[in-house]
Amino acid sequence: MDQELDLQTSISSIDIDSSGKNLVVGGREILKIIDLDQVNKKMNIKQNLRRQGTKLAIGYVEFNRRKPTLLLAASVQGQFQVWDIDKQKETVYRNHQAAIHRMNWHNENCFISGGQDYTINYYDYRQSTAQPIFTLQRNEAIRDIKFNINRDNYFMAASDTGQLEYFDIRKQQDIVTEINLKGRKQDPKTNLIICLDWTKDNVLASGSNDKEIKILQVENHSEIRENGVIQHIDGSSHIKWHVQNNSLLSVSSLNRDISVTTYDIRTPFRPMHIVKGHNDIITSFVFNQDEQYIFTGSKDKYLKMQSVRQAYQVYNNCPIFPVAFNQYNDILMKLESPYSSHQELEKSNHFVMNIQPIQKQSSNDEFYISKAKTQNTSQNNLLQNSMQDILKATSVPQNQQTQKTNIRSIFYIEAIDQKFDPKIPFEEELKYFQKNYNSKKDFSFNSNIALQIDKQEIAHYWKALEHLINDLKKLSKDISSNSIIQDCPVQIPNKTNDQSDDDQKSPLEQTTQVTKNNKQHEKKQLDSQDLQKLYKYFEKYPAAFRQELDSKNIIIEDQNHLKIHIERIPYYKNLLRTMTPMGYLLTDKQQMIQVISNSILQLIQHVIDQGELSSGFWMLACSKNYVQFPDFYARKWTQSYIDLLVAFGKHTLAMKAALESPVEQFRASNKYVTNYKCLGQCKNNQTTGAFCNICKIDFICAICFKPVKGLYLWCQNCMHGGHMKEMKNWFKNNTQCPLGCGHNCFDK
Amino acid sequence: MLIETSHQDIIHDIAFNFDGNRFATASSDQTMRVYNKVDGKWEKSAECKFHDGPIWKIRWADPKFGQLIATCSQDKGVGVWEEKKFLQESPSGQKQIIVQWKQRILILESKEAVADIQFGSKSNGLLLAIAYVDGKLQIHRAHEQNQFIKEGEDVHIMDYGLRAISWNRAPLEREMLVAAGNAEQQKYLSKIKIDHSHSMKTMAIWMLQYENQKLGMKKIHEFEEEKTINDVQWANQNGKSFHLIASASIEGVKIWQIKIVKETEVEKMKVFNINRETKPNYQAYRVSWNILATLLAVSCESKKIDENQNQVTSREVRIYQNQNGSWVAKGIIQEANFLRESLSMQQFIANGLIS
Repeated sequence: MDQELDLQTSISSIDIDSSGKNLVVGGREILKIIDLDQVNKKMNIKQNLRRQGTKLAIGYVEFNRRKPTLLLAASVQGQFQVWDIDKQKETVYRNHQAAIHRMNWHNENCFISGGQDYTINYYDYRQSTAQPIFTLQRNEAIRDIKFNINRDNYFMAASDTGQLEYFDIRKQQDIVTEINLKGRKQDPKTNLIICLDWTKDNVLASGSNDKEIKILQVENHSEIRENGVIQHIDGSSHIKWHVQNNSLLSVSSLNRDISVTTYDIRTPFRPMHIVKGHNDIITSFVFNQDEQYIFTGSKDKYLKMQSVRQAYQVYNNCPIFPVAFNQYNDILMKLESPYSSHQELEKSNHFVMNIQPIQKQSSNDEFYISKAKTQNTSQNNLLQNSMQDILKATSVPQNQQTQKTNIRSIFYIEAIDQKFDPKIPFEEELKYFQKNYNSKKDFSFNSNIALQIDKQEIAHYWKALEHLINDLKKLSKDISSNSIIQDCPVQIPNKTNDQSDDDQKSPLEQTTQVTKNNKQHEKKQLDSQDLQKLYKYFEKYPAAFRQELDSKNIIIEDQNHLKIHIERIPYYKNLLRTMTPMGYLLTDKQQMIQVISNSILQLIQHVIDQGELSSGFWMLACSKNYVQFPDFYARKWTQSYIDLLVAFGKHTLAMKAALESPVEQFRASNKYVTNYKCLGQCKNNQTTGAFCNICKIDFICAICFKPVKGLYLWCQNCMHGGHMKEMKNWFKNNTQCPLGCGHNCFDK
Repeated sequence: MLIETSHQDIIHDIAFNFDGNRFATASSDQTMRVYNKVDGKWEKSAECKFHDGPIWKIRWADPKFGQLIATCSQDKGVGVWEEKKFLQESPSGQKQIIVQWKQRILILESKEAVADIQFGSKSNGLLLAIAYVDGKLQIHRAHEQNQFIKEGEDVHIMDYGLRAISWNRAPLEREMLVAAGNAEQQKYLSKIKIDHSHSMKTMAIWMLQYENQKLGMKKIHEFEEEKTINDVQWANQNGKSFHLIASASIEGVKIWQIKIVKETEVEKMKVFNINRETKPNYQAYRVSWNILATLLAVSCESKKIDENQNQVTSREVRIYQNQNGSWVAKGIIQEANFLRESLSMQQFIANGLIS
């Protein structure tokens, strides 16, 4: 039921009368009464109070709360009118020398005004002359002035310098209390208080340009103490307590932000809801009686009526409940209990913190049961620990009574995957990252290593790779020229040509395709006999593998394992399809080489796709002498692997990996962080040493701050370094980076 | 392990640094805090206040650029912090390491709050993508004197507003990010007139491209997703031939498997809907991949009816693991006390709190 009225001039102030029927709008060229249709929730322009021909820019309007026909309208030029709407009577006062900032009704007849001319005037409307009853001369311009709703002989005046002065109207000249708000910045531009508002309970909110809203409480008529601060995102132009719920406070922003924000002082950091919709600064806002609708006047010349229910509920849309992993699979999550009332405490006692293992679809029941048992014990420990932690945390408020009400903690669980799978400790995984594979050794050696770390599948792939490489070696011997291989690097064929046996779907399927230029293959169809031969040809791989296992007395837990893999993994069938023309149909050996190379590439890609980047990389490294890999893949895999190792802090292994890479760039540069930048001005990506070829500068030593000519030693990770000697001296006593970037250069 | 934070209001985001030995938290109380792991225990090392509103997200940059943290907030600002360490000699002659978080300069002229920020991949200089709630995206580049300068124009990449972005960090690939946002018109944003004949997609991949040395953005893929996405995260590729992207929405979590062909084209492969069993009262808020992309942590909220016919809302973190190509739920960690703040905000007790 939102509505907007285009008033064609900038609006500076609006007010609503106590019955909620009329709204007054004051602005640059406007002073209008707007009728509010309560039933249909509509705004209609009712009355135009401004006389033709006068140039009165209205800065502030206010209805008398007790006599809703009386209206104050202050102009920015220093004069103001009191309107009696029913009688159409207007009284003009000209007592202020400069702009009047705010006025406030005292009772049905009397009111007060404060302005730029440092004076506060008190008037009685019933007086025959348009003169104040008394005048208070102050030292600063008065920004806002408001009577205390509860004790209406007292009023508060806010001045330009951030001073608040509390007056008793009966004593006239005497200030009851003066308060200079602590913490207000001294800069006069930022510390000026712009708006004030009282609640019924002697509580005052003051909004200022310095983005802080201070809540003050008056005690014993004269003592004022600070009760809280709300940090708003902008200065406040207008502030208003809610009547229905006196912990709510609405603020319109002064400068950049175009909105009315509502805060709950119980949760002072949180904007509760935000009303938007204008295109320029909102100068004034009022709520209707039940505070379901908000009226906003803005410099964009529109008056808007919006439902508060429809406002943007900030905390319904915000990101909550974060979780974060690090590389060691430690997990962070938050644990919060906002209000520890009695109910909450009771609840927390009932609470059970648990990590429930979910076991599903186990192919081998016994195995899983035994695993589950070990898991349970470890989980019980964890459960107890965490229960203790939580009890500790929740019991704090009980001891310290009500002062500490919030628990805002972070729950940290180390290596979450071990909780599910204690069989493979994570350190083992790291060792396997670190050293086991060796590209100098042959494939069966590496295959055994894969077995040792309980990766039968990978061991399989090593075997397959070995056979492929052997085939390749034989072929290249026949051709007896390595240069030919160099000339035809393998390529992953574009995907086309789908004549697959559809019973086997795999991620690999899309990539394993017969090279298209194989014309012979298109012509000749395989008969069943050939196929059988082919199957035998490929089945010899796992068979040979098993024989070897037996001969070495390596026992695989699950005897059906190999068989399962043959059925489950469509790799062999894919391989078969790829190699069909090679083994039996192709006579062109060069093409055969290409097809085998292709298969190797796809094999490695398949291994990596399964998440075995380290195995995949070392396969790449082992076969780099036989196959020319496409640059893109080799670089990508190497870079990914190095990135991963660096993330785990395995710098030595990263260096080793760089040296084993098939890509020249990694080997030659003798450092594993590639495409790093020139540390100088040009940010050149191609720098290879301590001297940048483009900006022609030496790098500067992090210790003596002189340019380094000669040996430059730098940390591969944080990229800071300097003279060899200085660095050696430094690292005798320190482990941190000498430049102070915080990196622990000797972190293993 | 329980770590007391002394934050005074909701914690909105937690982020580990690259080495995994520090983390930073962002909270509604307008501060961000940094914790270090010292001898197996987490200790607070810094606390900074810059924002005037709740901080929504916090991110670490690659350590290559130093210890850099970016925060974004409801107050329409983005803060970038850099840790500086230097030695200071105390009067007694002892050397002390002083740690300071200094602010980098960042100039924003925004009219809306910032929903998410993201540092770019490390190979292309330090980029910072800033996503605004109204759907605009800005790219800033770090220059000399720690200054971030905007590159290119603002791009309006999500009609109804952005919620989360995530960068593709795979080496040797073009700079691209996945952006996710709202499915419907947000009341608080200025109205957009959109042809409603076709349904809105809420998730898309945008690529950075330079034309005439000017930075631009190009949409290269739209996901078949029409629900509001709360969070999206692009998994580490680790050399695989495909990419995984996890998205959290009111319907739970989806894992999108895509492939990038010819540098700029995206080929859709598979979608895993990994929480079928818990539907329909299940809403996912955040997702987080581990570095090997084998585990996925999902924070979610599920609503159940208990014995007394009361609606019970529980929040929990679920861990999913990839097992032979399918995603299996491995564990549930329940939050101690459900945080009902956003709901309780609307159900006020009208008695005075100030007394």
